[in-house]
Amino acid sequence: MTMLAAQKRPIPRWKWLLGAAVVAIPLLLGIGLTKDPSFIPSMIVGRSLPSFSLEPLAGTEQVASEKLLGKPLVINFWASWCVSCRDEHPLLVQLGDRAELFDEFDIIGINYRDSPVAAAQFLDRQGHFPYPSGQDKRGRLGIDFGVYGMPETFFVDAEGVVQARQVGPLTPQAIEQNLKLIGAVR
Amino acid sequence: MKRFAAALAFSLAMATPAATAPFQTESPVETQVREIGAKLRCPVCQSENILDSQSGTAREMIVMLREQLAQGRTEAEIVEYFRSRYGDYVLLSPPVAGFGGIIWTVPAVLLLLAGGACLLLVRRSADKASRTNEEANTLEPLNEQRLRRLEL
Amino acid sequence: MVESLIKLGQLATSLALVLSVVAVAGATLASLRSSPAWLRTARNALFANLALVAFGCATLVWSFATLDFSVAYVAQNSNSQLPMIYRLTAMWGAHEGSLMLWLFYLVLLSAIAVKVHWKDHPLSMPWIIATLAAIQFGFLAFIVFLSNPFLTMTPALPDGQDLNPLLQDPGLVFHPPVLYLGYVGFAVPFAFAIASLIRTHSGAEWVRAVRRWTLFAWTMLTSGILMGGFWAYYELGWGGYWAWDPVENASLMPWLTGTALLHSMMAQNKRGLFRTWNVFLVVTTFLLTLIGTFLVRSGVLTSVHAFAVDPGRGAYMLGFLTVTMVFGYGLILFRSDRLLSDALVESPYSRESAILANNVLLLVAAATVFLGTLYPLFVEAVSGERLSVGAPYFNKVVVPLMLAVVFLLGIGPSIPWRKVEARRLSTMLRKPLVGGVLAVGVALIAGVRDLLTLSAIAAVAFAFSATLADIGTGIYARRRVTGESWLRAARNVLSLGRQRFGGLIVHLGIALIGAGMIASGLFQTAVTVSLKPGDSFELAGNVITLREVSDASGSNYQGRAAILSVSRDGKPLYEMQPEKRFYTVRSMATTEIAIRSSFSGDLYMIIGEETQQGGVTIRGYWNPLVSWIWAGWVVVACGALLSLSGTSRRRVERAAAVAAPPARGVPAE
Repeated sequence: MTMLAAQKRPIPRWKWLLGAAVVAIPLLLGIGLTKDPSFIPSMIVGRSLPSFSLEPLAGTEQVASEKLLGKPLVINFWASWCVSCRDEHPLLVQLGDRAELFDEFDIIGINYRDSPVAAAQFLDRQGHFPYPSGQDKRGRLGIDFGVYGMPETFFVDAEGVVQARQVGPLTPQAIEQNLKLIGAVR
Repeated sequence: MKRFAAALAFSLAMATPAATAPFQTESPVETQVREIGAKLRCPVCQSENILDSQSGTAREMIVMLREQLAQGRTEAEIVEYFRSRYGDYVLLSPPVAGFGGIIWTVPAVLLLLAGGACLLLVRRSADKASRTNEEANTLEPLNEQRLRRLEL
Repeated sequence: MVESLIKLGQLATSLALVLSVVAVAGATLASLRSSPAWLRTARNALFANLALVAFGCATLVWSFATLDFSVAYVAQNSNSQLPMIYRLTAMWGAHEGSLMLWLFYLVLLSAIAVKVHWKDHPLSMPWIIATLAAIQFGFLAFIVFLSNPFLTMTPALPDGQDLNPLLQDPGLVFHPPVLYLGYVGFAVPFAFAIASLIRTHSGAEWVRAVRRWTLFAWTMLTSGILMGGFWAYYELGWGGYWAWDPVENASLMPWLTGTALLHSMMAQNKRGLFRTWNVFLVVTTFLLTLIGTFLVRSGVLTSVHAFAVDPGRGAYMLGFLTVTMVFGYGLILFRSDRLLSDALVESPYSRESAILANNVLLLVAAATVFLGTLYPLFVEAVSGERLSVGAPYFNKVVVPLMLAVVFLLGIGPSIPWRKVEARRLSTMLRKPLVGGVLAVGVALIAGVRDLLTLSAIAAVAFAFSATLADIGTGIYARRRVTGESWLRAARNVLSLGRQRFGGLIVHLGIALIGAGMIASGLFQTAVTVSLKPGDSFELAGNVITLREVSDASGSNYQGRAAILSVSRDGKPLYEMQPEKRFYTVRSMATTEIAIRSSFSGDLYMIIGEETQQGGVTIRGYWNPLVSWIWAGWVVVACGALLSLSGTSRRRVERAAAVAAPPARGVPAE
């Protein structure tokens, strides 16, 4: 059709197609530029929290999901090898203090694919969390949550349903918005 | 002495397996591990499957794959297990349902359309050629103009 | 002194940017006012750019050789521990320097094209120069403003951050330079096509001129892609050579359209057919090389091979791509009506329709790869969902298309132009069909039952025997007519029909590559075992024994090696030593595969995790016929060289007019 369009039709069909391609391809690539190609939408949002029981990073009490039911919950995946975890560290410490003070929600950390020694050093350097962290040494809980980048934070409501996920460092805005979503702010 | 020890170690290493130790064989699920592993995309890497990826997450996913196969889970169940956690993103072969369906049909449609159009074109062109050939043969064998046209 | 040298390099490159503008303006003026003086100015600007860019590249290489860490790019991509050879190749180890290499090729090929065709194409020359200079401008502006490799840092770093360990490999010495040459090579046919569109010159003259350029670019692209596969095969360590990664796809797309172009150009050359189509293919192939560059360097897709990402660069490249696309396709839309060919395909049984079929298959394959590569982007843009299109998809869809191409490759060259009687066609196909059937029989006896595998074997065997038969018939006919010895007849046939026989040899190489790919893709054996020292396992008839796991560190890495001895039927054969390395400066781990190649296949060993008792996990592969792929590449390169060495048609015509008619029995080219 393209090759021998010998007839003198007004505008052959292939011209429309080619014209459309000239518009569509740059447009598509342009939209692509604005997106993050490694972004994966969360599958766990809208579902209930997977049950887990992890060894704590410090102390002896297991970090278990069943003890955390009935109250809004923030779960933060972090690791000592993760650079941007340092950025959100102070915010997390504040958030932990707030959870302790107002008792509106619980917060736990999950130390993801890390060695306890490196994690302890990280906390010594950056400041300790006022809440416990469980060890997910092999990253299995991370796979259950669909974690693909560090850090990631999940917001769970009082019914145990995951309502939101934050990929990358937390921001004050993201915290406020998501806490509202899980009913942790009156 | 040192050399003797090395020689001894070498001959032992060479001799023992052939003589006594049975061959190490891989566990029976490994074939399936490779097969399924090649279809799952490593979520933390850049367009690699979990079999080829060196990343920790991919390695762990392989271990899980192995465990689940050993428990007697089917391929479909295992694939669904990872899909329920990472979505369609982990499937290197897009699902036929939904958006993936388009991409499975388009090549066939393209081939049919392009092939059909070309066939039609050749038919028409051949008809026209045989008509002009007849004309040319009856009227003027090969004039200057036609010759030039053909030689372009 | 060194500081000023790199600044001189930057100055030279900036000056080249100015001169590229001069060349575009000069060439345009030359055409509008038919002024030879302006044209000469434009030409000289292009020549000057070659000197300037070559100098710029030289300063960069010099900075690497002398490890001048005050140059940011050198500091980021080398290290005092880096061996000298990799210091030099590190120039193209990252984004900025590799663009510089790209640019160097562009100015080099531009200068050569202008020099070679200066006299042959006086009327097209202004537009050829303008187009080439405009592309140069696009890349120069990108380098000078957004990807400057000449930037310096004060204070200089005490030591560099080392070259990406994956790139510290002999493969990097050749793969990117050859691949880029393939990409850039298509700029010259593009310039000729644009010139013919602007002049609305309908003749086949430009096609004749760019046949060799296209063949050259195609050969380089083929070589670059295969070298990339070779490199992936023994460096990346997953037992394969092609993963359908977006960046690999980006190089495959122009290859597919370029292959289509090589064939359909013949139809225009010989029969005046497909004029608009050829222009479309040239423009599309060049655009695909730009899209490839965009995909690799903009971060729009994730890929193993992608460069570090910078949003400004992505936007610029997209702009450049869009302008080129609007210009190229726009010209086709508005000028193509005057390029219509009045020649006709006279019969469905003809070389013309075989070429048409070849083009349809290759273009559908290219469209599929394009679609599959960009589809995740499309879906995300439309719905926000994310999905992946990977190897399983492409294997299922593209491989059957390519098999059909391979099958056609057997028939095509033996079908005459214009028309062939159906009966003659079937006689011609009898011998190669026997080859195909025999191969399928052997495969059936060997226990192959899968339909796709069987058709793959049939297609490759058919193509191979058809091509061999074609070459053989040529030699036989000459021998019968002239009474020469076989060897002499073969030599004469090859040297007299260089284009035709070069093409046939390329086809032979492609069939070999196809055989290697089918065998290694479909009959690979893999085994994963955990071994203690002294343990053995069996793979493809070989007994492989772990002797020990030992230290194997190098100047800039710590390494562990598994020492494996391989024996067969109780006879010790050789040792293999797969390693894993940890590069300390970049804190990056790599695996070094051990490969033992033979005619029938490769033994391929990868070291895995070490266990507590001094043991280790070994992943072993038996990859049948992989070496055929690399051998096929050599055959393709030889065929392409033979074809490239052929005298141009015009010279042949001139010679034919003077000399006696060519020997009978040699298939007419």
